[in-house]
Amino acid sequence: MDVTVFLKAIPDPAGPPESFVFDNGRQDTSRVPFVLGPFEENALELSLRIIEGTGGSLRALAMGGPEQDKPLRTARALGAEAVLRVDGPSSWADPLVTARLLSAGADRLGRADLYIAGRQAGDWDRSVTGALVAGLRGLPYLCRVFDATAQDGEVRISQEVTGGVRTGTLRTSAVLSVTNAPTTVLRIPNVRAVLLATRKPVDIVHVGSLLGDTERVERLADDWVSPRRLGRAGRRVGGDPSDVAKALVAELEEQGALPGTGT
Amino acid sequence: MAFLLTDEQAAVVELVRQFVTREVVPVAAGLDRNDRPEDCFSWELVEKASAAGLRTLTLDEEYGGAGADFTTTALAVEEMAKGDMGLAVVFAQTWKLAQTIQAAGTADQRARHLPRYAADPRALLAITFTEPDTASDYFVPHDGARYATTAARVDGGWLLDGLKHFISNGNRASLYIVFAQTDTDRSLEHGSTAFLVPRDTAGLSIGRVHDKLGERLANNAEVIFTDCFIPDEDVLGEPGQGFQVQQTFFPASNAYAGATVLGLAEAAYERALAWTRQRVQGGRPIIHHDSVASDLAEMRMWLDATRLYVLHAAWAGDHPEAWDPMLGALPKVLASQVGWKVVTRALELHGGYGYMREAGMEKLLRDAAAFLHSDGANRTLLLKAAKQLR
Repeated sequence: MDVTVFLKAIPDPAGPPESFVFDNGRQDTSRVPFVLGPFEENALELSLRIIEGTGGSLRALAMGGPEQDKPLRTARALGAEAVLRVDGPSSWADPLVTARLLSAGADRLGRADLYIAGRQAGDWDRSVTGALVAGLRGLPYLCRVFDATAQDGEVRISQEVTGGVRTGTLRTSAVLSVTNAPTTVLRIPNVRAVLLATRKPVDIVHVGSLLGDTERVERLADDWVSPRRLGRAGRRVGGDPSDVAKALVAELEEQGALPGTGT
Repeated sequence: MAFLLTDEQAAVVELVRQFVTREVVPVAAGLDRNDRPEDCFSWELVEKASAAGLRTLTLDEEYGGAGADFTTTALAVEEMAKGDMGLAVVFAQTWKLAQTIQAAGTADQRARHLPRYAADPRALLAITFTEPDTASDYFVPHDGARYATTAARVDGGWLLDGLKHFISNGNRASLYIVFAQTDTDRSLEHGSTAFLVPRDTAGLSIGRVHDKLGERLANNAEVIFTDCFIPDEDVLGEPGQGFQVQQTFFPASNAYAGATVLGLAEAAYERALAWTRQRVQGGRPIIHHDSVASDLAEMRMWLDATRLYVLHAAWAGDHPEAWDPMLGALPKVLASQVGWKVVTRALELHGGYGYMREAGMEKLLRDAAAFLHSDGANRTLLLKAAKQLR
């Protein structure tokens, strides 16, 4: 069973706070350390388990700037035969743009039986890209998958559902989103494989050559840059905890974000 | 001159960090508390490191290793020590000695010993200089200095007799580099020889395992040789040139020792930083008290400067044209002094909480004490450096 996994590097949640800088409504990511998103780690591990059980091949795909090369190299170190970065609007792009680009990028990597994503991105937590890819490709969508076992050429999938777990055999091509569980903790790659993966460049394709309308894609992405929509950059409040609380309440009141306030 | 890590170095550091976070940190404090020193050591951690390719980090790629250079290795040692300093010692010794055998060994020695080391997920390496009455003497030799361990010439090889102690990985290694006196009429500087000795050699036995104050995840033990026959083909370097082997083929040893205690000190600093950001006294987090903040800034300054010195020494090992003999003595001295200062200050910044065992600061303090003497007592290394000035 051939698998294409969608990966995303996100700003390291454990990174130094001073590395996060907003300037004129834009996040300056030049000093931000990036790491593979937690649910993408789960997606990658489940993908590896499926190809190991079925004897298929793995391809990995990410979208954004060079910061996205690292997770692709991790995937390569763990056995991905092909990796591709869609070079274009990065994590700020709206989900439909992202889904269209990822789906088009997946076509470049060749047909897969399964398309696997993390449950949600670890930075914006939108949780929709996998479903949108499924919609664009006309495939069923199975969300919150946490286990997969291969048997007799078939894959049994376990999903978290309301009130419990649903398990079934997958007999069709599909898009899966993967959640965190002991079964989806990403293995540590071998250092030698990591070094070999680092030495090889990542294949890159530009959005313009995928969708043929770069300007529209970039405009869409720009429109959805969240700090711009807020109208100004974030503000950090420090000092005495009681003063911090008062300042936060005042800020939320000013934005009309508290019940009974604003317009 | 570049101060940024290469992509490969960054990848190795990240992988070691992953290994430490997932495998080492959850078990290190528990292992450290075991009564018997043997029980503080974990084969499980060694095997997990093997699976990740870390045990053979410095082994040449032709033997299946990652072929890390001295700088990358020092970075890996530093990162490993952030999780546990003892475990960093276990691997620093192994990584250093694999590099040494590759550099100083003959093609035949490499072909016989390195594939065995590569293939066994428990294979560790050890070096045996120290004896009960010979320690600083091999750092700053004098005419009267001798190893009490001797190797007598016999047909086809040498008979090794004597006792080494305080040997890192002494009871765990599968291959040793052993230094012995082969000419008792001359000092060890001109009359000692280095040998490669596999663990299963007849006449090699393990004595007691030392019960240490700290650095407990690494075992140190006595290694005893009794009529232990070593064939000529396992002489490392030339007979009588043991000291030259020591001088020539361990360029980054001091840097690795420095990186070990540096990693520990960085862990203590990070804990102090986190604690002072959350601990509220005087109506605000204590980091907002100027004296505490300036203490932290000073710790950061010590660490940054030490890191540059240690990495410069490792880098000079990779670039022999830039080598300065001082770099073979002083970086560890600075790192251990800074390590001790940083850990004691971090402990102090934690107040009474830091004195409680559950805070983990006392383990860092016990561990930091090891490198005031380990890999050369500081005063001895200062004397070694001072010889260059006269």
